[in-house]
Amino acid sequence: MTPELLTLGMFGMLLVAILLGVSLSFALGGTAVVFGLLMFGPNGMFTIVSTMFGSMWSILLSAIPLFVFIGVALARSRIAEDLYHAFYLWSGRMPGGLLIGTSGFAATLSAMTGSCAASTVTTGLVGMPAMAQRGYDRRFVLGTIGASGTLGILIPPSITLILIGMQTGQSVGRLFMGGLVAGLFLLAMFMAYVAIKSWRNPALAPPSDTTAPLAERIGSLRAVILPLMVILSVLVSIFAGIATPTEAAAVGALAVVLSVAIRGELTLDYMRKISHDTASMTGMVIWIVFGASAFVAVYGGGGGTRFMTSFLMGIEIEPWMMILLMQLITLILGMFLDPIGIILLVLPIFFPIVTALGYDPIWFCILFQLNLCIGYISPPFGYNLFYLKTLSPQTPILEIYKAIFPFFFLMLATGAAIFLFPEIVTSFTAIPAR
Amino acid sequence: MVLFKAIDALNIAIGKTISLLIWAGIVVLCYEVVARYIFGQPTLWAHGYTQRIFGSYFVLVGAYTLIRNDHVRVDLLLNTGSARRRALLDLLNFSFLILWGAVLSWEAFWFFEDSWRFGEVDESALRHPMWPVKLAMFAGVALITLQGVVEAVRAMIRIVNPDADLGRAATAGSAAQ
Repeated sequence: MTPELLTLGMFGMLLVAILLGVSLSFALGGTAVVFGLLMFGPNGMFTIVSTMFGSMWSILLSAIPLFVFIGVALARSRIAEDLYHAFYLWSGRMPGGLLIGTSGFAATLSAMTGSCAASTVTTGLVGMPAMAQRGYDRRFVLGTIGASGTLGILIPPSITLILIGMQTGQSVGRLFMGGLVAGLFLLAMFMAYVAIKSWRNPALAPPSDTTAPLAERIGSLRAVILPLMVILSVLVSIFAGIATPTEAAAVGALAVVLSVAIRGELTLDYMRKISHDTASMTGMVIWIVFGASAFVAVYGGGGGTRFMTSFLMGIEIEPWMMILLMQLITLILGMFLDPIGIILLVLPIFFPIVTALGYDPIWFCILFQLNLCIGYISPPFGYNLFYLKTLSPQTPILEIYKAIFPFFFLMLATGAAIFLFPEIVTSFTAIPAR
Repeated sequence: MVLFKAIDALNIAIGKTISLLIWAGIVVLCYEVVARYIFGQPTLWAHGYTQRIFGSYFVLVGAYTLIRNDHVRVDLLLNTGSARRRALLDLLNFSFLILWGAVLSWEAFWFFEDSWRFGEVDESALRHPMWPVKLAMFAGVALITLQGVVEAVRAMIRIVNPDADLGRAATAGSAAQ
């Protein structure tokens, strides 16, 4: 089978299967089996099981269930509510203040969990009632929550950044640092936009006429200081090279359990529930990795990966346009496919090109990650759009698209800024020891 | 149906038991950090056993994730249209799983058998046997395939009779939580 035919066949079958509602994991694995048999016969099936074992044996992937565990443990406790309450009290009297606070809350949640689903849905559930009560414009609120929720996979710890590290061999510490910088940059953009828009039109987000006394505001911090310290120390120990991401995640998991215990919320039922949720969420992520490893093994074994890489290299364009082209492909794929699948399928093709052209690999990965975030809010299939729909079922999907529109542009502008001025990211990503 | 319910129950029980392995992983890794920085001596075994614990965990939670309906799908066509069409698409979904899972089960068995027969050990200084984690791999892929077969048969029954009582609705999600 020629590489052209293989590419068309494997990606065609994958796409059709996904659109027909086959789980991404099974679609990847099943397609790999069909084309593996066609090309190599029954004796070629060993590669499917040996690459799967390679993923099982990866110590870096062990960080994923541990970070999932931290997120689940925090979400199942009452820490999120207390955290929002603190942001609520501190949001002050300026127009749009509470929405700016909500955006900051979503970013903080992103530093606790590694997924967009958790930060978007939790932010919506906790924040929307309070903002509705203050008379905030619903569309404005939904847009901000949907956009801020995408920070979940950008701000570390992030499951997708770990997978990018695994796939490219780049330092997870440096990727986390890059994600943190890009995430904070993006957060600042969101906050500035909300502030300017509410200042020009206060009816969208009316200011509050009362403020809580200072003692109450300071008191609200007590409940959240411990979990925040935990998350911060996990990140710092990774950046400083004191612990591997996996070790840091394990220590963080233990520390989160202890801080839940100090709050008096640690029950046997709670421990059982967080174990079960962690197992199921990990199963979802890791089985996509298993499927993708089989798919990539067969596709690469048939010469597909090399073919695509040399095909792209053969296009006679400037190196910077090549980078732009690859980012554009990522952005478009992000509108249709799950980020985990994109990372595992596309990076083996793209990454050799980036290193061959001599660009900073971390910088490229952060741009790549930012595009996956944009994919989360791009119509028609962006996941966050559906989370917003479940948060506010009465809002027509078209209005959700409109709500997200300005933020979509803010994210594109951020991507353009990082593309044009790599120093925004690269001057920080050199800091982590390894 | 009794058999199907028994298989459901088996996979739920295994999944819930395996889910507790995360605590073992946390303890092993934390011990390693303490050993390195407080006792001044890293362990030989913590790394290898982290790999063994989480490797087994990854593969053995697959069937449980399936029962909880957490293997993500694009639900563009799933929630519109008739119950019969939904059942047909479910059947397609589980067919992909069975195809992949059957190959995995066959290969994983011989992968394990090789490891057992030749007394394979890991490549680190630890040199402990590799067959247990490969046995876990075989068990994990066999169990998710078995669950896939059960769900596929359920989908076939729903194609014939969309209102059939199947004990547990395969796509209801929260049922097994």
